[in-house]
Amino acid sequence: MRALQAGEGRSPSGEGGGHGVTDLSPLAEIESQFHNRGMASIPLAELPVGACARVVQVDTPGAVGRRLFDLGFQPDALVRCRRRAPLGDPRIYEVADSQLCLRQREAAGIRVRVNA
Amino acid sequence: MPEAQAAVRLGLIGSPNSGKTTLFNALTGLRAKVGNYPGVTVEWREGDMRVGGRRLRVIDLPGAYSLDPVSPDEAVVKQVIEGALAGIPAPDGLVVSVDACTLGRSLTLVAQVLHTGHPTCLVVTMMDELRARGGDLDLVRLSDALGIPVVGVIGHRGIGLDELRRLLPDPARWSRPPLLPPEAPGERRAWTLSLLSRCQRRAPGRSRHSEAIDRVVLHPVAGTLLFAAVMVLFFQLIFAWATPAMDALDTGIGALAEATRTALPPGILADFLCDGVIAGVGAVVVFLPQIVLLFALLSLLEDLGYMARAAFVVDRVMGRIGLEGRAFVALLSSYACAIPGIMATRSIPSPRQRLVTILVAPLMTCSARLPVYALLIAAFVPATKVWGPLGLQGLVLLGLYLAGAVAALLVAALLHRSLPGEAKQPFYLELPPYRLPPLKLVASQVWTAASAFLKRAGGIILLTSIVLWALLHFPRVTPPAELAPEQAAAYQLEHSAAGAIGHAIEPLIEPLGFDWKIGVGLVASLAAREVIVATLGQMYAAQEGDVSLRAAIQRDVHPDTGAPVFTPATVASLLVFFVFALQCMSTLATMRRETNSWRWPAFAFSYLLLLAYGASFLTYRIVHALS
Repeated sequence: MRALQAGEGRSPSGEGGGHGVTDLSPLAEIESQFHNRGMASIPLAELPVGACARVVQVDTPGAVGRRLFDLGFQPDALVRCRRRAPLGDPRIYEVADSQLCLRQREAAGIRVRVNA
Repeated sequence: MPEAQAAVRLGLIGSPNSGKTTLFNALTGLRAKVGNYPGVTVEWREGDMRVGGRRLRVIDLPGAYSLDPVSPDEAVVKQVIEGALAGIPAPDGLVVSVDACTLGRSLTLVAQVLHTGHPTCLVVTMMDELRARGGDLDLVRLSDALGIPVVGVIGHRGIGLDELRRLLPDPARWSRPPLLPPEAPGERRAWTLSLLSRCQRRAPGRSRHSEAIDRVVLHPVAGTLLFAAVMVLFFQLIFAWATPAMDALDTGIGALAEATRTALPPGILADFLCDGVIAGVGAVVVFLPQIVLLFALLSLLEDLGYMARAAFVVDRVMGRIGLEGRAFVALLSSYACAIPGIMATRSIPSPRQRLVTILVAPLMTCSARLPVYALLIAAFVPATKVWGPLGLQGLVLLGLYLAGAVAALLVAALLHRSLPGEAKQPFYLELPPYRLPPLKLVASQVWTAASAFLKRAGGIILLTSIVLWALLHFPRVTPPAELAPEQAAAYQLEHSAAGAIGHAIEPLIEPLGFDWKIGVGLVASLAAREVIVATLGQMYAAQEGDVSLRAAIQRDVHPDTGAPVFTPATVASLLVFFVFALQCMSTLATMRRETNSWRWPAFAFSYLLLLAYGASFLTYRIVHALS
């Protein structure tokens, strides 16, 4: 399954470039679905408590995104969801040797790849 | 060395929890000077140290994870380094303090600081904790890899301080990096990783005792219960345990005033000293027990690592109204008194949330409102039982408390939405490992808070007390000789400037059901809310004590119509007025001190006055129509 993902993940986007403008939008959709499933990448907010993942990238734009990056959410960094607050939000993540508490709103902007 | 020699200026930079404050205290002792950066609410601290006759000035910059600012605090760090703030020259050298346990993350900050081009040295703290958690780090190799001086320091034990002191006086001679770190994020990560491997860093394991404590503190049930218990402790501390000290201060001030009065010939000078100056000083120092106790507990819990956990536990609830967990402590403290409450907002990292919390804190029912509520409820609410042990009087009191709290939450939600500036600051909170704070650190924070209050707010409170005293006692009139002393005092009060103001504002407060005597009481209550009770006492020429005053205001009738002054509608309206109005100059002075501008106290005073006026007007009309 893993070998297939790495190879297939790229090809739809390559084809998309060669097609007409009208085809771009549905193709882009397929590409993004394919890409997401292929890399098993999910928003950090959906990472179950106790699970471990690697950061793919921070999607949040601007200063907030840069700050999350500076706090240790950098591509390939290991992150683990440690706990949730009594009402489910915020959650505590272990990243870059520290324990950071993020609200679900911020965690939704970080994409991670769950380790198989 | 001549004193005139210009001091070497060093900027101390570090992320929150990096041991920066402990380091600052270890270097400069308790001689820090505290102020605000011009135009912002960010606090500024600097202290002097001497090394071999040379004077060094250390500037403690606000905690920052990065020089890429997301908050005014962090923007200040960048501006100071660049020398962009008027009157604050750029530092000669930068000292970056990093926690050895989170070195990987902190290297981002180090890289950014190196790019500023200033001479830089690195202080690595918590080396003992790193080793205790099974990690390791070679500081010599780290220094070689970075190309800058690196010193390992354990601040509270004084280890490494001598080496650092020898290094600090000559920033111009510090080694500089031969190559600057890369700026692109991807390359910087590679740079960080290679640096960590070159200094043979072994990452620490989880702190075992922190894990064990967190299993309880962050447990959904146990953690919530513990949070409630800690909040009860705060409440108890400010409400009950501070009282003996406050009473003692009160008695001491009273005795001093009496002694002064007997020592001086009766007259205007004695009145001024006793009722104006000494009473004004009393109005300032009476807050000290609350401030000292609150800050002792607050700093202890903050440095211990609990406050971040408490914020985590209640974040969801407070998030609903746009605030974060730490605002809870400030609002709860405001139940005792808004002054320690407003000062407690210093633990809120986001300036915007801090401002919202400061602006709604006066709505929490402080203890100064109790004497007013007690007088009016006892005089006009029948002591009937409603249900079981619950009486109508108690229910009215409870209602007044609830009205304040609900208003605070609604206003907070509203302000959060409508205040200018970035509404969506990212929320992130580091949960540091539990660390036993050195007592010196706690003491220094208590000292900073108390001295800042005395210096910055104390003067304003004293001055306003004297002005209010003058309003109530001038111009001097000679009461008709046949009047009894109490009636003479009432006569003087009616003909004073405050009396004139009371008469002047009567048309304005008449729609609320208030007459000019209540107007004088409202003017006087600006000194502190409970002063209205004493002033009404004087107005009604009552003897000391509530009972006679209660009888006097129950009996009072309008001279023209013969209708009672205190109708149920008037009483309800006055109670509601006190729920909302910011009748407290000490709170205004503290707001001025904490926000570094008169704009926010003026805004708070105006919006609360409008709210009070509107609510009182409605209450008066509704109760009037019902009765």
